[in-house]
Amino acid sequence: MESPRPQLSQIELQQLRWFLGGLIGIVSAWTVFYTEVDAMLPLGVITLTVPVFVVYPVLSQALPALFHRLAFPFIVSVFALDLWGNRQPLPAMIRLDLMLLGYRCLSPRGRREDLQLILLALFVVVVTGVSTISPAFVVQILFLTGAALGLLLAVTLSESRAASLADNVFGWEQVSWRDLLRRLWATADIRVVALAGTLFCGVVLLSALLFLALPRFEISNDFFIGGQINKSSRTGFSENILFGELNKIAQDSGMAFAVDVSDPGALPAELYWRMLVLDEYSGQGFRASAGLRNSFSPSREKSVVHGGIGRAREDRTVWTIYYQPGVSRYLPLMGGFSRLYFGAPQSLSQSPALRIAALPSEPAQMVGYRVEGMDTDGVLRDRLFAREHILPAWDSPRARMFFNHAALPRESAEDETSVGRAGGGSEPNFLELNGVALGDLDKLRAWVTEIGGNGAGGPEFARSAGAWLQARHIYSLDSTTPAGEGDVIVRWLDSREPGHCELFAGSMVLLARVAGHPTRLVTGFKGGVWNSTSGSITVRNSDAHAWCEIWDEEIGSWVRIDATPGAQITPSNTAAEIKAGASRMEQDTGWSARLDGVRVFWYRRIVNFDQTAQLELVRGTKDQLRTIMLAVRELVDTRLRKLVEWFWQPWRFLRISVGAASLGVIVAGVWFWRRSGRFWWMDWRSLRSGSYRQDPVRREASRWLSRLQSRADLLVESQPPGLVETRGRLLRLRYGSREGWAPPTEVFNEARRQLRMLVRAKRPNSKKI
Amino acid sequence: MSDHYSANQLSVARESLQKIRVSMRGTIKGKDTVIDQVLIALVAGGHVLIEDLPGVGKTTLAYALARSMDCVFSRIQFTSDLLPSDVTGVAIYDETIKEFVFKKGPVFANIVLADEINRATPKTQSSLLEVMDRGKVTVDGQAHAAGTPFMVLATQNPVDYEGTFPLPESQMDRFLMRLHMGYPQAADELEILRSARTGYDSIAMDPVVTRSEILQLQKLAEQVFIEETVLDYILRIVSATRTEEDFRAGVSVRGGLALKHAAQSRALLEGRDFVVPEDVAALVVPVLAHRLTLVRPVSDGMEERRMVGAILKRIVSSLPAPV
Repeated sequence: MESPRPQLSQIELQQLRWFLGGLIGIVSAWTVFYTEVDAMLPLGVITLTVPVFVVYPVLSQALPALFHRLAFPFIVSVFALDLWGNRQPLPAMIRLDLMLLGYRCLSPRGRREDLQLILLALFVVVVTGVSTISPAFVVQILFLTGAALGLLLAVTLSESRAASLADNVFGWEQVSWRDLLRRLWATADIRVVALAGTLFCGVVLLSALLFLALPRFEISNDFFIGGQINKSSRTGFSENILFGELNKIAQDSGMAFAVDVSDPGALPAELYWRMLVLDEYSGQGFRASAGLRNSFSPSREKSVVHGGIGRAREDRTVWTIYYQPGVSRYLPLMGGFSRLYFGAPQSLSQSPALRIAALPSEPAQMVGYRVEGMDTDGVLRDRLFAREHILPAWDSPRARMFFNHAALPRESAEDETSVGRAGGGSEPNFLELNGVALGDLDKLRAWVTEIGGNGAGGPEFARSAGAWLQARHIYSLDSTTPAGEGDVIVRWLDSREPGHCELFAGSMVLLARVAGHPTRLVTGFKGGVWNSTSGSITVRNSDAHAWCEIWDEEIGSWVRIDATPGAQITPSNTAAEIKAGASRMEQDTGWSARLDGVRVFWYRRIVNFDQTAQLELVRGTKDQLRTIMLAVRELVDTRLRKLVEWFWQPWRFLRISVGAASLGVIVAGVWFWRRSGRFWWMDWRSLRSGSYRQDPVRREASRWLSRLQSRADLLVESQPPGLVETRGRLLRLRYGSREGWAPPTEVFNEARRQLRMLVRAKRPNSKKI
Repeated sequence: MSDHYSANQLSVARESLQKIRVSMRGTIKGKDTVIDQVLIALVAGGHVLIEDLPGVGKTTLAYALARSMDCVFSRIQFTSDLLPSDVTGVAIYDETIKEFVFKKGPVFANIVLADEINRATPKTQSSLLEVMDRGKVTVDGQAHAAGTPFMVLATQNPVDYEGTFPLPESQMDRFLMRLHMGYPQAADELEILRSARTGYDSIAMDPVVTRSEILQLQKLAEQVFIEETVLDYILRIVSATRTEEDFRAGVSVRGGLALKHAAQSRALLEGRDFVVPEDVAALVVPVLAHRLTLVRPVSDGMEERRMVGAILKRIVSSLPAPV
């Protein structure tokens, strides 16, 4: 009984090291999945082989010596070729790290190799974590820290007992992970585990406090890894969208972006997040014409962007958007805005006329930005367009003045296939029908006639056309365009097939243009759900949508038109709809909402954490602490005051009796618990326990035996009567059959009494014993 | 580890063992530990190999044990020309009844002293295998039960290798313990010198326990309780011998069982009906040492035994006992 607890044997420590090393290798390697580094081969090899080698370590011993001899030259050669071929140092280094990691996980390891493994894992986790800045990084780094600490502890324990583990291969063929788990459980001391857990939490807390206190900096901009690991677009929002592409995006339920709103009550009933405006019809889809692309200003690095054309300048609502990587380089915005902020200077180009802002490339990591004074009503005033293009209806006399009908293909002998452009090649043209063949154009004209509304304004025509479309086609995500020759839209319009948003929006654009109304296709997201966990809006890729904007010359603005069934064709202008509030939105309360909430918290507090937010958080924490302290002080003061008041009240017999009785009950309760209660409780639990570790009587007996053992010096000098007998009874409680037990309560009380007598006997001038 | 038995049974058992102990101590001076270990082997139903120099009291110990009990004692002096049938017995043709009759050999006793066992050929040594294992001798297809209780006390000289045949490992594994007598303390030896006794035949001892009492003790020993953590302790010790790089091979399963039975017997000898870790630790060397051989052989047999014992003690001290 020298050691208080059993310990893991040498071979068990070896097995633990092997297991932890393999686990660290696998988990750290998998972090590369978050990046776009092409490392599928080493990742695949690690994923397939390492788990097998971890479970069956004997395989590691079976590897031929030639494998170990050739491994390092092979890895170095592959790295050199990789570097030479791809000219990208960081991805090559990550692949090199993965290869080394894989080799270290497969081959037998000693202390040095274990330390190498930890360093390799740390490298890959930190590099991928810093480059992606995803919430998973926290989980990975915490896991790696815990596992690496466990591995280092196992290394220290085993190295203190033996010279080298790598040479000792005994027992590998007999590894039983279940037994190892059982032994770990048996040897784990709850106090040590609790202490380790507390220390770990303390370190994490301290790190968090340091994080709060440290000056902010944009990590990706300050390190060389920014831009080295680019993540390509996941969803395909680009300047050239073919019909069906957006529909594919809608199949993905991943989060596209999250939005914090300073005033949830200001949320409109329908949220349309504009990302791209497309004007040129290609026959297979829409694309941005050269003129449209030219309307973007050159990229400039800045922290604050002044939109200057948001009508809602008086609106103090602040929208903070956490934009996921890989969606698109175009930022989702609902309309014009007065100001747009980034946490750190950011390259941005914008088209004020289109109310579109774009980053230079798809961001590889989350981008956070705040927007103030954003228009949400679906009406975009465009004074420039109104001044430069006086656009009457197609058949009106004014139109003939502005559009050279003689140049139209119907009247042109030179080009019989397409409608001529009204404007110059470098200007966006929202009336263009280049991609429509003549025959198809006739059909479109016939449908426009059928729809009617000649001479009406754009929105009026759109409402009529929308109703006409919705009467002919129903909405379906699984819809396909009818086979055949000719224009896709015309073929679909000619049929009664169901359609998706792109077909409805595309049809609306063509019909409106034929009717003489400047119209453009808009892609982005519609809607979103209110995440009550995080108090934010979650917009998923499945919310991807296409709609169009039609020119309303009455008000000189572009008006949103959504012809897709189920949607309101033109925006509502009632106050109740414009400010419907979050309660009107679809609520998301499931597990995915909680995960999204964690992600938003990460973005709010970690990634998008600038100095302003830092100050806010520190002030908030300070205020919270002060509030809690004040509340506690008030509570204590109140209780004390009441106690004092109660004490100074006249002491009548009843009060004295109640007080004495209460005190007596408490004292008796404590005395009873200490004397018998806890042992009864222990005995009761002992009967239900299945093993020594769960048997409180055996554990308590063990404790008393240890105490007696620790007082061996006293035992030598004086032997109180009955001590040997008590020790025998304790031994029986600890090691004996339950049937032969004396009542544990009596034995423990006796042991306490004996020990007290021993201690008293030891005191100087003691007369007892 | 069957049902718990009464305190009365325990005190009776303790009293019986104490009587044998006192009786033997009257004859064997200054060898209390060895006496206790022999008693442990007896209660565990095992056999003992006493390995020491000639003339230190090995035969006397066996004789004293046999005489302390109401048991049949026989002695076999092993020599190189001893035949198996000289040990087990032989079937001879009886003219009067016209049949082969089995004439029992000296092994048919309760306490058998196999003196200088390593002087016999391996074939003769092996004749003891069956009876040590099963308590039976099979001759001409017929099994003949040896005495109950049955215990073999074999002796051998570890120094004099001239004309000896070392016991094979399988034979060694059959012995529960290997003991060493050692020289007595000066005071004890002086007392031995003062006594007029010259040979063990002149030892006058009366039996203090009956055979049935011994059988009852053996039955009780089997019922001594072993708690899970103590069993785990035994397992860890046995496993450690298997991973110890200085040993050619670890202890067999039989060795682990022997340690358990011996620990149970020691607990009974100490008046307990449960095993404590000290019981196990105290018996590791006597129960396991003779089952282990070193990877690097040592020319001196005594030195090898000392090294094996030291390694076992190191293993025991490195493994924390359950508390």
